[in-house]
Amino acid sequence: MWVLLLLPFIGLLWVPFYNMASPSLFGFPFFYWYQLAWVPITAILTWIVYRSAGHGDGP
Amino acid sequence: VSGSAELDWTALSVCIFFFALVTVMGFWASRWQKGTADHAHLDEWGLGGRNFGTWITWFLVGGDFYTAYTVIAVPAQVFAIGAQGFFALPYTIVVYPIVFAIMPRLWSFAQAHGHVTAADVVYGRYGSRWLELAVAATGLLATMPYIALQLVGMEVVIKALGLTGRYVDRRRQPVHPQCLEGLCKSGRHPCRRGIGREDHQPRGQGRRAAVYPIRARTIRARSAVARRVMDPADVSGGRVRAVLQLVPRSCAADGLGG
Repeated sequence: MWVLLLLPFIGLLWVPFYNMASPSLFGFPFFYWYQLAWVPITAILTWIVYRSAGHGDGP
Repeated sequence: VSGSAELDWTALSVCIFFFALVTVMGFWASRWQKGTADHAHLDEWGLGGRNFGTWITWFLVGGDFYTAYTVIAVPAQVFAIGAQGFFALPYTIVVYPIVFAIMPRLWSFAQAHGHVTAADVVYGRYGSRWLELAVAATGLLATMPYIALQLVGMEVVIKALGLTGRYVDRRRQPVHPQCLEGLCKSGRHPCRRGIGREDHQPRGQGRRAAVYPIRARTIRARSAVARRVMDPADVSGGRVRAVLQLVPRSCAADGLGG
């Protein structure tokens, strides 16, 4: 499950993935909404890893 | 006093209200765990007695993130140079998985062995004074530009309230603080020459160079004084637009003019 935490690094640290204007969402260019979308996605991924690792004093 | 120097009473009232609120809450919080706390121990000062739970920590992390960097510096950068300023978003997003992976282990280890700072943890784990020193020095060094940024951010906020800190003389011309201290009475000192705000026009002298704010600005310079320090190539026309810095660094050091 820990490998899930690598996804935001892959998705965000290589700018050519999202350096484009379309498809736009609610008028926002892809470049902006793509990065903002990673905020809730990363939160959910972290939550999944947290659940799988148990509620002890940490991993 | 020009328009930009007038107080914004609404903003100032909001600022004073929240400043007072936070101050009162701070004193109130100091009584919060009175009696149980051992104030002789560094844990109390540095880590809140290791008693912060999930909620308090959540708010503390929020306080760490939403600073002058977040609300002033980054928006200003996006406004100035566009999408490049968005570096702040991916950077913040990837910080959280890193923290999630590392910090619980660090926390457990530090709690079990009574360590307070990161340098303590490193010394406790690796037993090297030099590594401990390197971690402590890196932490201090890395914090300094951040603190500097926060101070500049505070300056921006306070100026937005109308508290510009500008001195004006009888003719309402801006006076450089060093001139108040009698450091450049001769009139030959650069901060006496050709000084005026860009929106200010001295009476009876024609228009002069507007160079009072010390940081480089684009201004219209027509006086001989201003031309002297400029690149001759820029002074070919009657009206010259140039970025110039008339006042030497010694005069600019206090930063009050910006």
